[in-house]
Amino acid sequence: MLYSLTTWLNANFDSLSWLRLFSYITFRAILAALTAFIMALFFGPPLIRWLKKCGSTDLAWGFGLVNVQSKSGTPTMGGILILATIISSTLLWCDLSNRFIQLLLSAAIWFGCIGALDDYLKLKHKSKAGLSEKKKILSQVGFGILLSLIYLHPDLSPVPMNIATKLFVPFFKNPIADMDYAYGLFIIFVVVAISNSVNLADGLDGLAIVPSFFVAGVFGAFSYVIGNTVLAQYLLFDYMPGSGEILIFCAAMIGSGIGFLWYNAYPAQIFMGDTGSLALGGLLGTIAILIKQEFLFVIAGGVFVAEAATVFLTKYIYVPRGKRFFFRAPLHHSLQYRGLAETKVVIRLWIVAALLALFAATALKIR
Amino acid sequence: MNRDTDGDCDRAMVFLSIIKKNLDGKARLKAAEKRLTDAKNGEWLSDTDDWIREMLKHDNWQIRNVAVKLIGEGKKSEFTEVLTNFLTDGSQAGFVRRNSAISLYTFDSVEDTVIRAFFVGLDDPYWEVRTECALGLSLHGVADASMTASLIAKIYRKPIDRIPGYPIFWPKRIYREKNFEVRAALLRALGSVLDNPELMHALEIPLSEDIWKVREAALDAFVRAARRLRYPGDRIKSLLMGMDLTCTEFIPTFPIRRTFKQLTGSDNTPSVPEDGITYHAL
Repeated sequence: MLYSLTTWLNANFDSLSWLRLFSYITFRAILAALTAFIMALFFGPPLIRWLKKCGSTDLAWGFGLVNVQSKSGTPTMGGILILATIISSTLLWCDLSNRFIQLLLSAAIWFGCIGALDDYLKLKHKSKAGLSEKKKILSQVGFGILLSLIYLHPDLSPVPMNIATKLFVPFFKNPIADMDYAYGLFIIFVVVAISNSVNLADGLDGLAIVPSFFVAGVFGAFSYVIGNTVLAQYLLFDYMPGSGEILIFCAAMIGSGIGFLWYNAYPAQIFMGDTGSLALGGLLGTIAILIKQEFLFVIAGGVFVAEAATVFLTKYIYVPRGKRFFFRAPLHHSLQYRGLAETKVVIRLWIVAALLALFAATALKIR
Repeated sequence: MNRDTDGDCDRAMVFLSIIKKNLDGKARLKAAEKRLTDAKNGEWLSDTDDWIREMLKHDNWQIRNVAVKLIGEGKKSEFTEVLTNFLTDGSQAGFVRRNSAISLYTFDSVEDTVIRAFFVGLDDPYWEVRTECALGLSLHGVADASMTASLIAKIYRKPIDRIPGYPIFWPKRIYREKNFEVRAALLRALGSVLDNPELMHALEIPLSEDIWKVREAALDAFVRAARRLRYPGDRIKSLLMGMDLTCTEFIPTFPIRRTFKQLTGSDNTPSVPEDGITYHAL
C-alpha cells in the first residue's frame, strides 16, 4: 500500500521525487524486514497474554524427554504473530499487483488456516491428535492443486511459460528435464513435503524459526538475481520479470522470524504451533516453486530435510519392520536422547543450517 | 468365458480375504493395546493369561509384541521359556526381541537359562536388544569370572592391560561396541559381575569417556564394583577426583514453578525425572 502511495506521489508531485527511493526493491526489502521485526516485537507481549487468556497453551506430551514436560502451559499458536507481521509488512511494502506476491499471500493464509485449525483441535480435545494426518495432507494437496492450476495457466502464471515446466537443479546452468504437465504433480509434492518438513522440525525452542529465515534469505537472494535483468544475464539465470518482489516478502519473513525469536528463544514464552510451522513451510515451498529452485531447498533447508527423513524412515521403513534405526525421531529428539541439552541441539542445528545456507548461496555463482 | 469369470471371482475373493484379514488384524491389535493399557492401570482381566498364550502364536509381530509386554507387566514368570526363545530367535522382529529382554529382567528373579539368553542377546545385530540384554545382566548378573571376561571382551577391542591410562587421543578406537547406549549398558552389567579387583581398570578407562551418559554408567558401575570388591578407598578417591563431571545436559528450573509448588503443595505438571531423561528400560 505504501509502495503504491509513494509511486503515485512520486509520479504526481515533483517536490516528492525523492520518493523514487521506494521503487528500489532492496530498500523496500530492508523496510519490510524492519517493519515486520518491530511489529513482532511490539505485538508479541499482548498476543502472549491473549493466548494465555484464551487457554491456548501447550500440553505436556509424554515423549519422556525432560524439557517437554516443563514446558506445559506455554502459549502456543504464536504463528499468528509470524503470519500477521509477514502479511502486514508485505501489504505495506510490496507491489500488490505482482502475481508472485498474490500467490505468496494466498499460501500464507491457506497454510496458516490449516495450522490454526490443527492447533485449535489439539487444544479443544486436549490431546496430541488435532487434524488427522489424512485431512492435513489433503488440505495441503488442495493448495498444491490450486497453485499448479495457476502456475501452468499461460494467462495466470507469473512464471514465463518457456521455463515454467522445466526442472532446474542447483549448480547446473541448464534445466535437466522438461516435465510438461507432470510438473503439476511435482508442485503438489514439493509444497506438501516442504510444509511438513518445517512442521516436523518445530519441536524445540527456536529450532524451526532460525533455519526458516536462513532459507528465506537464500531464496530472497535468488529471487532478486532472477528478477534482475543484468544479474540474471551475468549469472546465467533465466530472467523472470517481477520475481524480485519475492525478496521483499522474504525480508518480511526474516524480520518477522527474528521478532518471533525474541520471544521464542529458550526458554520460550510462546510457541509457533502448527499455525506458524505449516505456514512457514508452505511459504518456503511456494517460493521454491515460484523461483524454480525446488532442489535448492534440499541444500538450504538441509536441517528440515534431515528432520523429515528421520521421521519418514522411522515411521514407514524401520518401525513397520519391528526395529529402530535412529535413537528417536525427529532428528532433534534423537540428539536429545544422546544426552545433549536442548539449547546445545538447537544451536548446533542453527550452525548446520547457516553453513548449509551459505553453501546453497554458492549455487548463485557456481553453475 | 466362464473360466475367466471364475478366475475373476477367485481373485476378488482372495483380494477380499486379504482386506478382511488386514481389518481383523488391526482390530485385534487395537484390542491388544487396550488390554495392555488396562494392565498398566492395574486392571488385569481374568482371561489375560490364556489370551497371552494365544497371541504369542499370532502371525502379526505387533500383536506378539503386545503379548510380550503384557507378560512383563504382569511379571508372569511361567512364560520365561517362551520369552527366552523369542529373545534368541533372530527371525522375531527387533521390538519383540527387545521387549522379551525387558519383560525377562522385570521378573524378580531369573534362571540361569535367562542369563545365558541375555549373553546370546549381546551379539544381536539390533542395538536395542543388546542394550536391554546388558541391562538385564546388570540387574540379574552376579559376580562371575567368565562373565567378567566375556563382557570386557565385548566392550574393548584389545586386552585391557594393553590399554593405557587417559588421555587417549582417539578414545572411541579402543571400544569394540560403537553404540553409546549399548556401551553404557555393558558397563553397568560389568559393574554387577566384575569379580576381580585387578580388572577394575576396565571400569576406570571409561570414566573419561566423551559421552556423559557412558561416563555416568561407568561411574555407577565403578562405585558398585569398588564397594563390592573393597577396592582401596584412596584409589577410588583419586580416580573420582580426576573425573570429568561436566556434561552436555542440564535440567532447567523455573523458579516460579518451584514457588507455586511450595505454596500449593502440588504442581500441575508431571515431575521431571532426576537425571533429566526417562530411561525407558530402567
